[in-house]
Amino acid sequence: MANMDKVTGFLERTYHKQIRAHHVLEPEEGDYTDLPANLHPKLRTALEQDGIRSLYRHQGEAFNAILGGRDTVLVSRTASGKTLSFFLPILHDYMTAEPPFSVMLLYPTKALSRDQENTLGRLMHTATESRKMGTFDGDTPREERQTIQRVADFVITNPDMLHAGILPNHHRGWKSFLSRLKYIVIDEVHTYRGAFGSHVSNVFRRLLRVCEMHGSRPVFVCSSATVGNPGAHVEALFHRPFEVIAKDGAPRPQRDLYFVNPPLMKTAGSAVYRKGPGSVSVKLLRTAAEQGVRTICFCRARQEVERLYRAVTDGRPDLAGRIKPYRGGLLPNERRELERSLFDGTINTIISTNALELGIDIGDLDLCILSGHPGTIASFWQQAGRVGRKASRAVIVYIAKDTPIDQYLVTHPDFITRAAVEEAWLNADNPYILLQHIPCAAHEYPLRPEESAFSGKAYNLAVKILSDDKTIVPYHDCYRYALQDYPARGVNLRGMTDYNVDIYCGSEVIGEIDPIGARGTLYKDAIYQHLGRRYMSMDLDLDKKLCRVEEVNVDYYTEAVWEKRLEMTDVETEGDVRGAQLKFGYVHVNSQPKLYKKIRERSFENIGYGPITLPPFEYDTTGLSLVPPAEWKSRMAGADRRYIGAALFGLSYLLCRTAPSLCMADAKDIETDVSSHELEPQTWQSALYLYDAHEGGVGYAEKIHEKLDEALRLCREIIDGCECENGCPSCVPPLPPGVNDEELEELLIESNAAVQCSRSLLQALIEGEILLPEVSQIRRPLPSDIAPPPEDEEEVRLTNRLTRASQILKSKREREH
Amino acid sequence: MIDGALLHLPGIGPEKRRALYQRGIHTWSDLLDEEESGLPGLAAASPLAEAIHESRRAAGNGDIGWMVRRFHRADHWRILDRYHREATFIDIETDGLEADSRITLIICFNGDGIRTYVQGRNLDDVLDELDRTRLFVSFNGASFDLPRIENAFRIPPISIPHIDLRWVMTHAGFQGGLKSIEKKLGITRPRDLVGSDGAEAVWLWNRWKETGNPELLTKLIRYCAADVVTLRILAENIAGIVDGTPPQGFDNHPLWQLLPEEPDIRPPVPVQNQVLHPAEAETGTDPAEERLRRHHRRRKAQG
Repeated sequence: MANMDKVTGFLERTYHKQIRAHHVLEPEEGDYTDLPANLHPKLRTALEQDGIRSLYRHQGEAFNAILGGRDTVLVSRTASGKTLSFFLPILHDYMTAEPPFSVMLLYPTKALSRDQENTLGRLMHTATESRKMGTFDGDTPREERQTIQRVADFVITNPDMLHAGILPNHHRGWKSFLSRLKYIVIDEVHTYRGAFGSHVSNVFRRLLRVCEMHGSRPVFVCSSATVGNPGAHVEALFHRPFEVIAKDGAPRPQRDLYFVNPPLMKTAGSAVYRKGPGSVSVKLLRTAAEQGVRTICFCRARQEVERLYRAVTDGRPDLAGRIKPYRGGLLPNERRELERSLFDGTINTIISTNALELGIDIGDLDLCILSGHPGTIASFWQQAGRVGRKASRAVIVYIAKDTPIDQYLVTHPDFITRAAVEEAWLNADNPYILLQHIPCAAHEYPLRPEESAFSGKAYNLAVKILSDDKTIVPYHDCYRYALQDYPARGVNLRGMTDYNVDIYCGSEVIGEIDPIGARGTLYKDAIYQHLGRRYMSMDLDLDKKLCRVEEVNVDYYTEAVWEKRLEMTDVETEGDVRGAQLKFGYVHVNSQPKLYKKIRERSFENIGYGPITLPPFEYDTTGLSLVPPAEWKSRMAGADRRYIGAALFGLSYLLCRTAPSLCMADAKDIETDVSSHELEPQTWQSALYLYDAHEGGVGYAEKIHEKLDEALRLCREIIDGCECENGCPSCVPPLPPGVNDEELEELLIESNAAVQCSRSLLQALIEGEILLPEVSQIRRPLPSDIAPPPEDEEEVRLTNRLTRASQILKSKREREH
Repeated sequence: MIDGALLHLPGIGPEKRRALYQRGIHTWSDLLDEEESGLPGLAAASPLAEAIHESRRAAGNGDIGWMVRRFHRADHWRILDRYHREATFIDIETDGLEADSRITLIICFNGDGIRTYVQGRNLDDVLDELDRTRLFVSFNGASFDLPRIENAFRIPPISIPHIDLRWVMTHAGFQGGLKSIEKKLGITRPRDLVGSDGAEAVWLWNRWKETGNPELLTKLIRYCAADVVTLRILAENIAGIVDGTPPQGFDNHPLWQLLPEEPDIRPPVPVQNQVLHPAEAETGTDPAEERLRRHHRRRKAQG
């Protein structure tokens, strides 16, 4: 593909000094099978009209498994024909089986639901001429809802709507649909993990319970992106064995994976800083757009997307029509429009947050740029998987940011291709979560002495607690819900923020954002960018859930500086772990944007500060705090005071990543941090905190508190077992996140102190043995081994000639003036 | 009377029944006795004979549920005529006229008198009353009162036999609401209740909640109780009404004297339910349970 060669040629020529590695992932042949012999003739015709004459092997396997009535999970990449995998057998069954028949399709987000309604609806209409499909979510107009309940055989919805809209009405509007339910399709099932997954698992228990009442026994069909444990994950989610179809038969072209590290620069004051990913991505995006290479660039944050878009199109009106930004917080119609334009080729380059990581169909792409590492190995491959579906060649360019993780990855490029994809954990019997769903279940139908969907110790305990406080009361041999409200309304599956702040410009709503995000990006005087326009926030009213902005013309953006304070307000238990002080109790979390920095575009110069006066984001949760043993501290302080901080931040990093596996949580359900308290004037004491990132707590920190010894041993095992020399993201990176002390940073950034000090602290906590860490300097990373490709002589000559000609013309014009 | 219910029998519709009446056949016995009834195969084992015997057995056993389930709606008045002394007449009021309005008041009326169940005081006790009831009589209860009660208490569909007087009256030629039926039959409510309607009942409740003025609650209870008194008057005289010969002098009916003069909200009857649930088996508390309880209280307190 000549155009792509020009783009990679440009990349290799211009940035050869910054390319740390170039991996070539070999092409993979497609593995095909014939269309099933018994496939309904109308479906066969519909497929053949679309040019489909065979299936990938995984699609064929799925066809047989699903029609065999087996609960099935399909593990596949984005764009590997997943939709056909599950929809073909279901449609075939729909057309051949006797009614009654209905199918529920769940997508984790509304955007995905709408996208899929179009895709599925088209195939369904071509094959069956039926339009009995509808989307039932928060955006469905009231008058359409009844029609969908009454008429639709296929209902697309999301877990939140199932929980609060469908289940509470199972015996009224949804009775007929649920009594016909034959298949439940759950797409992107890997997103249901941690606390969210545990909630959703209980929603499914409730669904199966009412299905049983209405006489249906649906088959589960799930699709998942790659996770480390797909089978175990869906079995934990749905409490039944699954057939796992994991071998992806879709072909893949050769993929070139570049690791780029922007250069270190010196300012006038000779401070050293690293250029941002924009220093590479701006020119690369322009070149790709000029060459007509279909490109997606992933950024970490919404406003980052806007800033990059601005930088790429600034002064290039010719590109503005072909490149667009895409992110959450745009209005739904704006997003639909962008998806369509990308699909039909009106635009060929999109700059996006991870909003496009899930399976929204945007057609085939050739170049994927990752501006910074997305946080997990799974996300990295999910984003990279957006390219290389049909083309003969695909290119992935990973541009590192100046963060410890990015810097590690870009200097150890094998890590990405070798590291295992994260596992997904959840625990449906988490008592704190179960306690929220039992009232909902009782509200749906009284709890009978035997409930096949619910049982066990946690369930019995929840029933007891709820009956003691008269949330449920005895009725005949059951318990009925005794309050006059809708318990589902008080249970938010996704955590703490379930409303949006509307962003008004004049009388028009231009966007929306969650309240935590609003605190960090829409404080008064913040610069907010939306589809390339700049606005200034005039007023953020969190009570009224609105923000007023006005369009402005400035050349800077703003960045909030957050401050977080942790305090254990209510100590429940206090103990001693080999001299360390361990407490468990209620933790008050207070995080607040304190001030904002004005940063000039391009130069990233800091051009001023301003205060932010917003109420803090506060909540109470449960957590533990750990103060290292006094003797260990004094020995460390004797060698270097900073060793204590190095160990605490290192252990904080490690615990945050290992704890989820011990309490079946997701990484984002647990937070760790190091916080200091003034014991007496001038005496500060640092403690390591680990707490649930959910208001009220959901029992994760409690579990870790119980299993602290096991957790510490696991941490030590990880450090000891890691192949790295000086620390890495798999154990403890040289500069763990959260460090905001300059002296400590100086020690960490060029030494193995973080990992060595963490090891010393772990040894003290596990064995009561005090060992001084062996701290040494790290060698600088090796220079690049990528040779610049020879320049295209013809092009150089032509460029020189034209440049000269243009200069002559210019001086001629000046003379004539 | 009960044995005049013919419309649920196989092969008998309104036309056929008219023909039978012309030939002097009015009851199950008539049918069985009529040797030359002209009905096909009235042999001992025929479906018709079977159905008659089954109906007789149910009537003999006082199986009201069977009769309500099986009798044609146009014959429901016969059950009412026979069993109105055992029936509980019921009516509810709500705090609005919307589909999700909440129940504010339930009045039950049977041989033991009129009982009042008020939201926030003793509403839940009505469930014990339901458990003691053999037959429900309501006006429009099939689509309004009963579903509302099931929904309010989150209980499974109520299986107690239920006769909806609205449909009984419709079959007797009296269409429309309760107030218009009262008018046609000359039933007059006590003077303070004339002209009150469902909308006023909503207003009375909401106003009472605002002001706490007990007179408003009394009036609401009297209004709702008047509805059930009318139901009982209709039930007691149902045979005459169906016949087209309703008795006169409803306006000074002694039942009106039972209307409460002030709110009479009885203390709840102790619940006798023996619940054997797995949760009951668990005894004693452990720290984890205590934490969970505390957590639950915090969540509730935060709303």
